[in-house]
Order: sequence, then C-alpha cells, then structure tokens
Amino acid sequence: MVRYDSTSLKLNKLAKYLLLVGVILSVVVGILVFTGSQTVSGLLSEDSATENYVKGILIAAIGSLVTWIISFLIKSYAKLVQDTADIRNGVPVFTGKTVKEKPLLQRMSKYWGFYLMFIPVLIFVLVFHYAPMFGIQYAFYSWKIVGDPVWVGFANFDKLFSQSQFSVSFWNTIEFSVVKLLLNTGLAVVISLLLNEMISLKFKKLSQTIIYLPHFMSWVVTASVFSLMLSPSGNGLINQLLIKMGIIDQGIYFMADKQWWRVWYYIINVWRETGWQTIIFMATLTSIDPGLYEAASIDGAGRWKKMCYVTFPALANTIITVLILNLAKIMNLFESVFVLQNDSVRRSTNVLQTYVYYQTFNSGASADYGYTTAIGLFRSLVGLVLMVICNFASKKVRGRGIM
Amino acid sequence: MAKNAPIEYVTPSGVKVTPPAHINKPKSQITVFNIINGIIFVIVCLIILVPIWKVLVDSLDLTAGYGMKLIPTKFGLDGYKSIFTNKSLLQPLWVSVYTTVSGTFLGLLLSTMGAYVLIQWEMPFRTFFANMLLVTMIFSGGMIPSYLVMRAIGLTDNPLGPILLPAINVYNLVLMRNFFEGIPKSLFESADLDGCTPMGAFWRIALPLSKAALASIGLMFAVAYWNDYTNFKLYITDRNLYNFQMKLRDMMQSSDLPEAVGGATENTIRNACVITAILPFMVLYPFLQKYFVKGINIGAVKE
Repeated sequence: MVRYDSTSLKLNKLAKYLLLVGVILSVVVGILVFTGSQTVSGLLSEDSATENYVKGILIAAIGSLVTWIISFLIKSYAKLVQDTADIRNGVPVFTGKTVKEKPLLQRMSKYWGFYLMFIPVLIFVLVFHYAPMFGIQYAFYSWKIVGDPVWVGFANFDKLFSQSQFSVSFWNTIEFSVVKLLLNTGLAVVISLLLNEMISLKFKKLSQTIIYLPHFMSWVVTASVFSLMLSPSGNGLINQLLIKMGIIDQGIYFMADKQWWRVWYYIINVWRETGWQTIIFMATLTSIDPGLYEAASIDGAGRWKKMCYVTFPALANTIITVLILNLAKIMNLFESVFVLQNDSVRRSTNVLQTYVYYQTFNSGASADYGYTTAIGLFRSLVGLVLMVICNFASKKVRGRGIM
Repeated sequence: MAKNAPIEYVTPSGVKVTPPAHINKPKSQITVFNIINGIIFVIVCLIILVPIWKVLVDSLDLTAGYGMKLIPTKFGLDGYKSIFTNKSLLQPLWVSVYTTVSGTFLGLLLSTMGAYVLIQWEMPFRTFFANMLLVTMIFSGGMIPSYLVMRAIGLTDNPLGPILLPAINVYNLVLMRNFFEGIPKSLFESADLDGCTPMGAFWRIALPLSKAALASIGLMFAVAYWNDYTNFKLYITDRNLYNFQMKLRDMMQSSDLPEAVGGATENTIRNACVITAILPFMVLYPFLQKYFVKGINIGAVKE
C-alpha cells in the first residue's frame, strides 16, 4: 500500500538533505585537515602531533556517523507520523495535505499501560547501552586513574597509531576471526552433508546431541579442559599420546609457544563451535524438496552428482548468509582469546579487546581511561563500517538486512 | 514381509503404489559409503567426548600420575568431597546459583515485556522504541565507557552488577517479539473488549501461549548467566563475590588450591571443579536439547 502524507514526506526529505549536507560537510572538513590546512587543524588542538590524515579521516567518520544517527531518528519519527495518519483514516491519503489527527497525548493515553510496561526496559537500555555511548567523549581526554580528565584532542589517536602493540592486536583480531569463521563454516558444511547421508536415524540423533554439547560449556571450562589435556606434564593426554607414538621425546608446552598457540586456538574453536553451526545447515538440508533428488536420480545422477548439483546449490545461500552475519561481528572477539592466553604468549596473541583490558586494568598507574576508550572507539567504528557493508551485502544477496 | 523388500501401499481404490526410489530404499541397505560415514561420526563423537571423559575420569581417580588411562585405577570421590566441604569453593557455587536464577527471571521479564510492547503496531513511538533497541545492536560505547558507567552508579564490586547488566539482551528480546507476532491479534482484541487491561492480557494470553519460546529463551539466559565470566572479570574484584567460573579460572592459573580431603591431589580437585562447573547442564542437556535447538529457529518462523 502506498502511503502519502505531507508531514512525513517533509520529514523524510529533511532527513535526506541533512544526511547529505552532514556527510559532505564532514568530508570537506576532513579533506581540509587531511591536506594540512593550518586554520582548521589549529582549532582542534595545538600540541597534538597527529598525522593530519588520521585526524581528517576521523573527523569525516565521526561527522558522518553523527548526522547518520540524527537523520535516522528523524526518519523513524516520520514513519511514526505516517503510520498513525494512515491508520486513523483507514484509506491512503494522496492529497498532500497534512492529515488532521487526534492530539498525540490523546492517542498515547490509550496506551498508557504499555508505556508503563516499557519503562523498565527503557531504563535498562538507557543505563547499560546509551549511557556508555556518552563516555566516548573520553577518547579525546587523558584520564589517569587518579585525577580528572584533561582535554588532549587527538593525542590518544596519535599514541594509538604509533604503538606496535595496537597494530598487532588489530591484525590479530582480523586474522583470528576470519580464519576461525572460515574453518568453522567449512567443517560445519561438511559435517552437515555427511550427517544428512546417515541412514540410521538413532545414530544421527545421537551424533547431533553429542556435537552440540561443547557449545554449552563456558569458555573458562573449555580452556580448563584443554589446559589439562595439553599439559606438558605426565598428566597431559595429548603430550603422552604423542610420546607413546614416538613423534616427540618430551612434552611440549603447546600453549606457551606462539605458533602452537594459534594452531590450538583454531582447533579448540572448531571443537567447541562447529557442531553448533551445523544446526542452521541441517535446517536448510531438510527443507530441500525431495522431488529434486528424484529428478536427479531419474536423470542418472549418483550420490556425488546429486550432492554437487542439488544439495550444494541449496546450501550456498545459507553459507553466504552465515558468513555475512558473522563477518559483521568479527570485532567482538574477546572471551575466547582472553581465557586461552597466558603471560608467555600474551603480547603476540592480543586482540583489540584484550589489549584494552590489559592496558586498563593490568598496567598499574600508567593506565589511561582516555587512551583505552580511544582504542574502543576505533574498534566500534570499524565494527560499524563492517556492519554497514554486511547489511548492504545481505540486502543484495537475500533481499533483507542483517537485522 | 521380508526386511529388504520394497514398501508398497494400496490406495483405497485398490491401486498399488510404490513410493519414489529414495523413500522406498530399504531401511537396512548398507553400502561402503554408509559404513565409512558411520566410522567418521564415531571418530567425530570421540574427539568431542574424550576430553570431557578424561576430565571426568581424572576427577574420580586418586592416583598421582594419570597418564593416558581412560578408566580410573584408584576410584574415589575425595575430589568432590573437597569441593563440597570447603567454604571457599561453596561460596562461588552459591553465587553462580543465585545469579543464574535471579538473572534468568529478570531477563525473561524484561524480554517479554519489551517484546509485548513492540507488537503494539499502532502505539505512538513504537517505531522509535524499536529503533532505539536496534541501534544498540550495531554500535556500543565499548568496554571502558561501560566500566566507567557501572562504576559511577555503584555496580562494580556489587553482586547486582553481573545480574542486572546481562538481563537486557536485545537479541533475545527480538526473538521473543518474533514469537509474539505469531499469536493471533483477535485474541488480544477480544480480551480488550472483555475489559482486560494490557497487563492482564500479557499475563493471561501472551505468556501462557508462548511456553515453548519462554523455555528456549529462558535456557539461553540461564546458560549465559551460569557461564558468565567476562562481566565478573570486569566488574568484580572482591573475591567473596566471585562466581564459580571465576574461581575455576583462578584455580587453573595458580597453585593456590583449597585444602584437599582424603587422597585428593591438586589435579583431582582441578578436574573435579571443571566437572562441577558443567554438571548442571550436562545432566539437563539430553532432556532439554530440543529447547536449546529450537531457540535459534524462533527467529526463522516468519520467513
């Protein structure tokens, strides 16, 4: 149904232009700073030695983000006006005149009970999700554990991009998440395909129950189980096994070696998550029309051909969806790395979140809330960009956004 | 009928029908592929179960060196006795229990109430509320600003912190909303005509009709609370307020272990603690598996 209503049209137009102007303005200012215009960058901070391009990009990004949020809120208000106008009249209004409605308060009074019910949710969301967003301002302050925040402009970002620990953590985050995602998804597809071919239903059910199991163990328990398994002492099952088989002479402390640590990180992730990932693929497999297999059999296709030409194309869409949905969240990596780390490999295995944690809570008096907030802001912005890209990709591939 | 004979159906009009080949395949037909497939899954299941089994065995074994054995040689429950007679281990267990129970209850309450409001399509500001929740899924303040807020409102080193913070879970709320959408609108309308208040309709219609969804989402909350480590690590420094996951992590990292009872060695206690941490869900898991699995499919109902 097409709905026209001048108020919402005006508001939508306003939001659109606001977004356009905001983005252009922030990009222009960004470019000015980028090229080193003294007047603009002088306004922001005098003593910061940040490379101008970093400032430029940040200004463009933050400016665009803020205007995007404002225009998003205006649009949702426009939608609200539009919806109510439509419902109140029962028929779509094409005149372009503002629809006369009952006053907002009168309409709201009908729903007072619901507003009352929403208050607790509202409080929780505001306190635990929105209040921290205001804390982002500290990215531009220096705030040691003792004392008050001091405005430093972009100095934190200077420090950030000059620290080797930061870039190590950043690339680790990307590497761990992407490798883990590909391994888990690939193996989950293989396992679902094999599970689907299973003829004994009882054994199939049992296998499914078992492979979902590790997902419900916490990361702490998983890490504990594997640190017991991988122990270099006489009690570590894996080292003992390797010694018995004659592959190694004495136990290796796997988790203290940065190369081995990565290998085991991926193995542990596969052990814990692959089974759970098969659920979504199994759901797709059971929804394939049996007629397709019949037709393929009649055409003389064997098991392998059927898998290639019927099963796999049906799965492809699900695989892409899973990849897109998970790609949007790759910056969230924290607990799995945190509990598997130990002091000897920490520096080479940090991801952004663990880096933030150690910088804030484990570095004594040199901890700086401002600096670590800046890292967090950088992480959130990269995550946001990924979300937008994935949302776009998702709309292209499956016709709807990721939420 | 012979076991391997193809199945035949006779329709009411007397025509014999043989189902299509892939359905009609005799059940006990065993091919080389199927045998290999079966072996693969035996191996997969073993890979998953052996580490857990090994921990279980070691927790029941009282000898000092375990090596490679997968059955206890000197069986004894002393490892578990050490846990359940020691206050420094019982206290974290108790914290885990009350956090899980109260958190699950609170989480369910918030999710269902929020979801119920979000299905009132004609309510002014509904879209605004929905968008407000969605924004939190794509952008967050980050770890440190959250910590600063929690500290400012006095929820650090407070047992309420790890209960309140995870109780608002937008993802679960959206799942619940998708489920509520499936309830026929006419039920709410007739309740309204009969003079039922919104709150009354919530308790008498929405909740009783969504027991399956409540079970699934409740389980998700319960698992999340029982397994919670991050929130305790960030917001709790007082050892008396640690939950069992924190205590377990502590014990795995240090040799500062509680006093052993009987023949329990350090390792026995460590293994026994791991088992205690997973025991509640391992026991319930086979019975509740369908609810666990259903949870992630609730969102797909609409598509």
